[in-house]
Amino acid sequence: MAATGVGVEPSAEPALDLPGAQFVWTPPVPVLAPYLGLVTAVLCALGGGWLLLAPYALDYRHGARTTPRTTEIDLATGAAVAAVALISAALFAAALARRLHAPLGAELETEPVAEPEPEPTADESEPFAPLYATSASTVPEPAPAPDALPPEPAADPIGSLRELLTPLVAALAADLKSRTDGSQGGVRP
Amino acid sequence: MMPSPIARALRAPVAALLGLALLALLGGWLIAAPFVLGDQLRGTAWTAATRTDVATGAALAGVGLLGLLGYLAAAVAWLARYGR
Repeated sequence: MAATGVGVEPSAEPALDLPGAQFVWTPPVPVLAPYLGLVTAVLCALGGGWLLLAPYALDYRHGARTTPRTTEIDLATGAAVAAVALISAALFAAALARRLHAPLGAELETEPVAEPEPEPTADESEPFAPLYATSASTVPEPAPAPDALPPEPAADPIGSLRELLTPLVAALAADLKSRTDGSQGGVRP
Repeated sequence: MMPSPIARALRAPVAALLGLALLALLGGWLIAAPFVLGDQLRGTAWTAATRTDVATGAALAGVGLLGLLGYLAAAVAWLARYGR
């Protein structure tokens, strides 16, 4: 079983039924949440930039000599917002990159195969049992069954279609011929 | 015990989430600042600075809260779909 570390168990159904090896399905990486956080942080950074520009764009001073307190508040708050938003965006981007590079996905897990023990008195009634219990390198290939049938030839779709349509065409031709003969015999000049 | 690379990759970005919460609080501060500091007198027409502060603060607070809720919703949806 692959440990994902987040309390998620892979599927119990292996996609590949091989002795000693199986595919373990693991869930996809959750990337939507840090992506939403990244977008939000970038939007907040834009808001902080607007706060830094607003006192000059909207001319809070109105020609006064001194800078009004609202300008100072906006500049300070805008700088704080921009800094916090940029740091948050960097952290969300790092989290997103970590998740995108996480080694998740379909992994081929190989289970350790036990070494076969030599058994001089092997049971002859189960000749194929060791094949599933030991690795393929230590088990000799089983001899083909003597009564094994030769492999069937590959199905010919055109031939089967012809076999299917031939009696139909013959029946249609016979029907057409009988109609033609009947019409010729029924009409008297 | 060292956490696995997968667990490290899937760890929640707590500092970034705290940053989003701080941004929402800064938005609230922007909304309240003109009235708290006395720059906007009660009963008078709002100045351009007050309008800008209130609008930008509301936008920041809303976006920050939406980001937090979106992160929470995405994480809960992923856990509901793939979690134990």
